[in-house]
Amino acid sequence: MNSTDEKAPGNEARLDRRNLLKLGLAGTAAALTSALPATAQAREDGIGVVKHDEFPMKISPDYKRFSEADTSFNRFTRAGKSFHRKPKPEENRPGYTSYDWALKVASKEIHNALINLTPAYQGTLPKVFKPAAFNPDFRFKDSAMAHAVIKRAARHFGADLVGITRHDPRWDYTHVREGKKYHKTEDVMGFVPKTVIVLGYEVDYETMRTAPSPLGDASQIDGYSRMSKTALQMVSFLSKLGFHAIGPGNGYGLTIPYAIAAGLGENSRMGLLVNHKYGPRLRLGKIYTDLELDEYYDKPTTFGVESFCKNCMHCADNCPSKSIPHDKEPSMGPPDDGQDWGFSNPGIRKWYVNCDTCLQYWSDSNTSCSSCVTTCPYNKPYFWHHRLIDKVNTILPGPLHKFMADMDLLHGYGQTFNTSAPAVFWDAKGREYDGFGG
Amino acid sequence: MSGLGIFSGIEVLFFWLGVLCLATFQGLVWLRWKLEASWLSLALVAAGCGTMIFDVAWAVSSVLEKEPQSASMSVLVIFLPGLILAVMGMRLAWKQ
Repeated sequence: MNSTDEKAPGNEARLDRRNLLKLGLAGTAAALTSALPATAQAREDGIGVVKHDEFPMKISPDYKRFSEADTSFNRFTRAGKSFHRKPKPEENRPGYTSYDWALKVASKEIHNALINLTPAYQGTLPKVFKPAAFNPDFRFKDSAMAHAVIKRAARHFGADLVGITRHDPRWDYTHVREGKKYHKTEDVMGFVPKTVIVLGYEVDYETMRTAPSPLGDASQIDGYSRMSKTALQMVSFLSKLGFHAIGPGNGYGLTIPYAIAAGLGENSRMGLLVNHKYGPRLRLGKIYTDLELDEYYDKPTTFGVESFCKNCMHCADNCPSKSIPHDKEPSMGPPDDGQDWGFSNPGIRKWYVNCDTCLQYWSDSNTSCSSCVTTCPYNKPYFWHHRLIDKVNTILPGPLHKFMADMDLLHGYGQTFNTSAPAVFWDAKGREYDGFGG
Repeated sequence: MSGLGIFSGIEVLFFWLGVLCLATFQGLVWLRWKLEASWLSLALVAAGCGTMIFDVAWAVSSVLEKEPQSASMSVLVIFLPGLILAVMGMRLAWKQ
């Protein structure tokens, strides 16, 4: 016992070193506990990475397919409005200079060149590739081998992610658009599809840090070019093996449910797919084919995104057009707020985004916005410490997700309208282009 | 931050983390043999040094990915608690 203890009166509380430590520990525990909101939600689908036999989102028995005509893009166009205007460089505004705009517009060129074969956007019908096998007697040894060959080929042709799922007519549009005409989807498909191959393409992290800006759009749009290029090579590959195939990109059906069914990720508050590796920083395309894979289809996989989205709210807080809902729980339909929400097909339990106000912001800002993607805590560069946090997030209970989301902002991630980000993208320092660097 | 144009920044980082881990282990052995430090103090020192080494890895990675705010924040929330743990452990070890 030291001299300080001896001087302290009998039963009075003493602030010696041991008590100070206890106080510190108690204070830390109290601070952590109070940082967790009472409304934070726990995860419902299990712990860790969970594989599902069924589609992992609740679907109402009343759910109906809907027409491509009812998507927000087409409603916007029919109303005589344009969500993309002509390039308008502002040489003193980071991310909006002539070279930012040139990067954006040039990114689309491959898509434009292939638009009549494998368009990435809706509005043009893809070419149906018919069987043209080198060897008419060729058959895959088994479905497992076919599954592996398709995935390796897709990666070879430039896809970053590949998932294969059974064709599900629920996710196909009833009608597809060709210019101003609409066709019944089954009439233009050209064959009865059995399998859908979903392809994912990473969108560059450094350009997404600049969103919303034309520079931020550049890598998103480059994703569409990559989508067209890889889809063309894949449908040609399948054709040469003796199968029908088409690569409609975003057209013919809803790509996100197909991607979920193919195990590429989970739906999120912002309505985009969140993948375990790339988060929402992803472009998605699909290929329909009549190749049958029996039981060798990928399974839907969840890893806690819905629970994280319930507790995070970054995308809703940072959406400049307030199009993303703050509702705690997902719902089976859009909110009854008196608007005509004809663009949202109800009957699936999710968060319904107001795509009309979102597109109006695209038009007003002359960008594709993407603030939600930039601010999402799952949007990170591919570094070991983010992979660690992503793994930890799959096993953390829901309330701690709120803490993790707050720490994300404190660490400087997820900033939108970041005017210093374009300079980081264009800076040559720390990069090597001649192959001599490390 | 490449090593002689041969190794990437992350590769160089993890090499030096290995060196730091080895130095920490040798320090713990020295504390046990020469000072006959208690297992509690060794556990505190190990936890503290491990936390600080983890933060070095985090902070350097954050700089490499061009997010320096993450590096400074990590010093506050990871390195400092590690330093406190290590200092407590060392003081306990020296007392004995």
